[in-house]
Amino acid sequence: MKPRARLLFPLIALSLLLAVSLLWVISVGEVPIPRGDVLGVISGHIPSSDPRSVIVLSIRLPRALAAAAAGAVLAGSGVIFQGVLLNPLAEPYTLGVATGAALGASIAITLGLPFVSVFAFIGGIAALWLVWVLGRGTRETASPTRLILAGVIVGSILGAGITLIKALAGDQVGIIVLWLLGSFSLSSWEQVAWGAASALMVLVLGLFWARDLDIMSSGADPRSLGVDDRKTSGILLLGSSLATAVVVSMSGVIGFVGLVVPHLVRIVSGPAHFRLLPLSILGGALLLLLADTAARSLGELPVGVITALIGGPIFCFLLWRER
Amino acid sequence: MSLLSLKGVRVTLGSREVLKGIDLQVMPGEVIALLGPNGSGKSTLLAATAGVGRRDAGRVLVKGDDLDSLSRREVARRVAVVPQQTGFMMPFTVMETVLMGRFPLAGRFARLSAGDRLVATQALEAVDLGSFGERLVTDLSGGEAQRVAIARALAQQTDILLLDEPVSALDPRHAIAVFRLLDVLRKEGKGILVALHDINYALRFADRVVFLKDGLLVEPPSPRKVDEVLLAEIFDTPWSLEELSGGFRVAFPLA
Repeated sequence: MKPRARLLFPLIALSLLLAVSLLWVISVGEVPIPRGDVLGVISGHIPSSDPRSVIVLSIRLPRALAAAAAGAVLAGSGVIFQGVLLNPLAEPYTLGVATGAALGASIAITLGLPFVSVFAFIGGIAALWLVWVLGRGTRETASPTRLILAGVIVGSILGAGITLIKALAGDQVGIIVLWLLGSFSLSSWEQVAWGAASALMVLVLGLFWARDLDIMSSGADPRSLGVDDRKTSGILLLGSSLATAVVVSMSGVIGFVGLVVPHLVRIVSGPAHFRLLPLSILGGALLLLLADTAARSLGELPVGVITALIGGPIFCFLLWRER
Repeated sequence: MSLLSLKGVRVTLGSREVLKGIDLQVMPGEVIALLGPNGSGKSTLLAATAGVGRRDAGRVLVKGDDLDSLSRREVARRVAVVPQQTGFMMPFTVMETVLMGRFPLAGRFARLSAGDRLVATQALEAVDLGSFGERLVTDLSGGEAQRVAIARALAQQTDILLLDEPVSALDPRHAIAVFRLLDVLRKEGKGILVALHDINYALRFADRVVFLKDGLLVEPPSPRKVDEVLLAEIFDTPWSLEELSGGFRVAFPLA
């Protein structure tokens, strides 16, 4: 395939699809707003006092953008985790990073501490470290499934920790539950800004170290090809964990986006990261935008339920194929 | 001046001191074969030399500079490594994989130039994979993958080449072709250290043969001086060494 067919065309197609979906997603809901009016609101032709403006600008647009940004971060982080850890099954959810972040946040909420996202970040990094120590194995025993096994086990323990905290939290339990369920229904423009900044960080980190990621994921000893793998993987893992923590703070734990999207994108882009990463970021944005809309139209289901219903079976298929 | 110089290199793995003070000089235009029984530390020595494995004591000088003072990138501009296991996991194309050998020489954002592609193409042709550029490395046979790893190392265009059993998965024709290639590189003035299992390739193609035994290097004055007594001592098994009509010497174990 020509390089153009593997990056430029899919990039344009996904961007257009994302734009059209955004327009469509904003127009549907309890109060349908014609697409022309949505454009009118966004372009300023409809005054901001108009109810349609209020619905679009204060509710639906920030929600849609927050969901898209979160999807972008989860898919982009998935790409980076998979590349650095040489593991096709790695993503924030299977590695326990998302659950660790949720536990950190739960503790912060229960204790009434400020900066919940900071605690989410600490929780995510701690979980990643634990999973890495348990799951990397030695040169002889290292395997993708071993790391994921460690991730799932650590994830369950942390999940039990969250349940325990909920039981002990007393009055705070409502806030924690709301927070963990993961919903974009109350998304603010501030959250959109945080989400977009995180997505941008993942994109910039990944593109800056795209060749290093290629070499690390190729299976070669990266050091003998001039890659300072300790430094590079440290920066990349910290960066994507931080971005994941921000997203978990926004929307709770959302699984499988970081797994499914890169795998599907790879079919078109191949494994080279300068193509894989931007396309996955767009694909993740599109997937979570649509999943959130589905969750919204089904009566405000947690969006994680939708992604698990789509992603879970695909994950199973990948496991089956790797057997 | 030697391209590569090891001084008192020691490595301990677990409780076992695998290398007990290795001194070795690799000069330009020299192919040195490294032999020894399984577990004698050949791979450990190559890894320590390339700066990718443990080294508990001693120094490695690469073109006069201490390995520890050089960045990873700078080391990769001077030393190329062909690993024993290629470890290919992701479906990169053969060409993409060989171009990774250009990474240490290219700027981070510089697009790979036509020159880089030419070097990669020539490297692939040198290992008889000229038409394989668009194939996926995950679809290759063990021998083809091994040759891709050699091509990637060639693409680095380093003065020093370390190869860890580069012909272990190759059929005789391609194995011989790799040694002919090393011969060409030798004439270009490169220094080559190659770990081998097959003593016969070493006797035929190497300028020097060194053996690892009990953590130390044993080197006969020349490959011609390798004899049955020495081989029996190194490998703990009796050997027969015969001279064939063409001047080739052939060794095989009798046990």
